[in-house]
Amino acid sequence: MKNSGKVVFNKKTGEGLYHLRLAVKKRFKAKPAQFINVKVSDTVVPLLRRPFSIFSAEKKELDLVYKVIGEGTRLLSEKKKGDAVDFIGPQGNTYPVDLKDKKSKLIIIGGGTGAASVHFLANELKKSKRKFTLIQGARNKRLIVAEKEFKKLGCLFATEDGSLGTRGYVTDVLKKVLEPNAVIYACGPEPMIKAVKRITEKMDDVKFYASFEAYMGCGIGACISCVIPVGVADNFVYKRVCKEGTVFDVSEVVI
Amino acid sequence: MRVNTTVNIGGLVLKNPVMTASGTFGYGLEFEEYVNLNKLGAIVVKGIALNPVKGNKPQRLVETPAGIMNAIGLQNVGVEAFISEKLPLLKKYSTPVIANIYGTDVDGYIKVAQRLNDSATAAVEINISCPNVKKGGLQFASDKDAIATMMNGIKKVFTRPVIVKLSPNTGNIEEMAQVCEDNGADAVSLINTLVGLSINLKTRRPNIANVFGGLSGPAIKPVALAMVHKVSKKIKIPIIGIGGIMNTTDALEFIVAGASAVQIGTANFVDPSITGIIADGIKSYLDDNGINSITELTGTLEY
Repeated sequence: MKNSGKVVFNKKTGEGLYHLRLAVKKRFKAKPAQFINVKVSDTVVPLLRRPFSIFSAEKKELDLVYKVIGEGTRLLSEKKKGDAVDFIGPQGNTYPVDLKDKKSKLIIIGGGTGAASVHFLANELKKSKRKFTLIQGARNKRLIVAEKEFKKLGCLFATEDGSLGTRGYVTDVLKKVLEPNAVIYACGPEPMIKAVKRITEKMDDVKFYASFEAYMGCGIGACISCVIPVGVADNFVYKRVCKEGTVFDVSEVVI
Repeated sequence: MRVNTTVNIGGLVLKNPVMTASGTFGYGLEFEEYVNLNKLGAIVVKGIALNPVKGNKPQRLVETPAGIMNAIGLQNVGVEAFISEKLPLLKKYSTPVIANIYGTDVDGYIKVAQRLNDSATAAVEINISCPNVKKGGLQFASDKDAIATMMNGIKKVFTRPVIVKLSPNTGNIEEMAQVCEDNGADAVSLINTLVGLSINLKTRRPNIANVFGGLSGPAIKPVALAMVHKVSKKIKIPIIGIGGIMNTTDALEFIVAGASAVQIGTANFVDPSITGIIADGIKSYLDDNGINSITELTGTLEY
């Protein structure tokens, strides 16, 4: 869906980190792990839209948490209160949550700006009164995404320099909280997804779903750029992160 | 005033000159919610081969100044699945569907065309210019004998218009267009993407896994306009102009340069509604300028 919104605020929250809230024109329904594809420039440089996971979506308000990493995100960070923002979305699927299953431990892991997507999930679970364990990791405290909001959700933190929470990686925290029959949901850089997969693949009864990040062209399934291999090493097909994803059963992804 | 936007591409009558460029519009269905497909002159679908193709390893696309570079590797469902699964879903639209086809050898191209002859495909566009596959594609772009053999073979098995998509990555695109015309092509489309390289200085590695990719978008528009114009001086069959068209003005510039129709590519990724907007824009332009028919504008460049 083509949509647009007006900037309510666009504030710096950490090292290169920003929190943007849009008051959206058309009513929409968004789910955790979905993304919107934002037009950051009015000219042809940069040309493509920029995809962002949704941090939260309430009625006609939509929040993004992003890190400035290049020209596109730099332009987005310059948007001021009242500026119009054109976007497409929400796009993609969502984390599969079985709300009838009240026993399995749900573990939610966010790394880097991938934390935006899992924040949305944790918030939704909290609303439906389903218990979960939330973990967020970053190199240091200043790179932790939306610390205040995550603390409200009872998040366990891991930082490489120990400046917040456990010193180490999210996997160090995961090993402590992991139980048989757990269901893990994650979003973050590929090395993090790989590290979690190495732990979960040894446990038959643990399910692991991740929302994948990929370099996108169109974000609507047409260009077939944002693909990841799904299947087994010598027999796989390329599936589109924007369309068949963003969430995949990690046991089926060749990484 | 009721303006006439119809164009005739080798016997195929289009309600307007706005077509989609292969590889940027999926199988059309991906765009249903963004544009009324009935508004388009024609839908050119993603390149189709005899058998399904897995495509290249990612990263497949990278943004460049005023453009993008891609090396998708012609990932596609294969001709059978296209006919049985994709084509029926496009039936409800009045817009003709043109199949872009490719093979790893001359015979492969002919077999796909033969299979498509018994389908609702209105025309075929022969892709002899994809820079991103090891076999087929670009290896034929400058091979006059292969093009002649291919054209003759395809004309025997496919009874509707045959369009050849030409590569800018060849010594002389005018000469190649001439070979197509001489061997029975009903139209030519140009240009396909330009071979490019994008480097990550930090890692000293290419940004695209395939190393080289095809450059498209506004960055290539002047090159495309020049080639369309030069080819229009050389051949009489219709030309379909392609290359960095982002809006109505760009599309009309190609028509003035000598194109009978245009294809919109990269712009679909930025605004999935753009093809419908340009189709409307062309009509308004004719209205506003008192031009009765779009054909009056074709090749009117003066100097």
